[in-house]
Amino acid sequence: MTFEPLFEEAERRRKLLVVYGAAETDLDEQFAARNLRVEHRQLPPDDPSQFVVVRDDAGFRGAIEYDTLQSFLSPPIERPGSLDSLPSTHRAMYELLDDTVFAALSPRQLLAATRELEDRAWRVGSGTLHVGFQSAADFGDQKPVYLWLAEETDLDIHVHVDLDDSTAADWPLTLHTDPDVQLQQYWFLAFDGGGDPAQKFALVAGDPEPDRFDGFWTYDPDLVDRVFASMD
Amino acid sequence: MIGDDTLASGSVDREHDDEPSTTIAPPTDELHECLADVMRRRVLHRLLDNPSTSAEELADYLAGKAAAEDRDSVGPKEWERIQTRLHHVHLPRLDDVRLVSYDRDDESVELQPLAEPVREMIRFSVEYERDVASEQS
Repeated sequence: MTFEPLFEEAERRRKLLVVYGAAETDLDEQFAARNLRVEHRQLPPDDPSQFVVVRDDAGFRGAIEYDTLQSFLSPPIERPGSLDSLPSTHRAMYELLDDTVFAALSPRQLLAATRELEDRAWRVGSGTLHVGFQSAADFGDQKPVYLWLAEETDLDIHVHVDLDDSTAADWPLTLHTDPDVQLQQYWFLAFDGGGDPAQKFALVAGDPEPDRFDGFWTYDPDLVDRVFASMD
Repeated sequence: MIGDDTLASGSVDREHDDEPSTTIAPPTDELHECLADVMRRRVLHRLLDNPSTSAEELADYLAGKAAAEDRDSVGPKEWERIQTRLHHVHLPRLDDVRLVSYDRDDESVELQPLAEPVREMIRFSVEYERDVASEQS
């Protein structure tokens, strides 16, 4: 009944980015809040190449040209509809970066990421979507979105929130009004892909400080399954 | 703590170490043969700036160079291939002609004190390759 082990695992999966190049980069800053450590290796001024090597506990994970990496990092999440259309090494890089999106987010960024995920569920149109809110007020802001999703699609929507509302019985979604006190610390979304594992996703965020969320989102089907398991 | 001062005296006195008694300059054919392979050229060029490293780091560097060249990414399989070639072919070859010393057990790599013309040849071979490539593109 807690996401704590998943956060701990994200910590263990911490990656090292080794930046090679003659010029300074702002990758340090870009990754300051992420689950990554950044190191620099100076290349001589007569070598114009600039690239990044990604390593973790298991060793080398990937190398990528600097500009190509930058194009992966445009927030909130840019990911093509079908990974199969990508060259295999690019696909690997997406997969690699996917489980590293453990980031500190502003409420606005978190909302943008949430919208991206809701949009994906809407496009799939069926399957099970679980959403959890930290308070009735938080849910109140988002309620129209989920009522609309429930009416417009075949999605089976479950909302977890501590709420007392007599009209709730008429809503076209399943309400879990007595969430575990541990789960209440998080804002989360989890989608089972509607039968397509490639469409699975999950986002889990907590707010250790006002106006700042720490959390992760992932398209890794195994990790998504474990988010579902954490809710049981 | 007692004894700290005496421990420090074991370090090498750099001032008298500027000109090593011998510098490495392989026969011309051997040097050209070493430079006739792109991986060996890049390894030697990298070592000029970074004379003490490991086979792993060199494989990282070569994988990154390949990614930068193709404006793409390189995965663990390709890295494995590079690392194997380095360990079994290229680093032993460079060790044979004494341009580098390669320890096959801990996979550490050290550039030997090369004669200046050798260093220039290495720089030139990499520059030449880059100029030719940029003319073609």
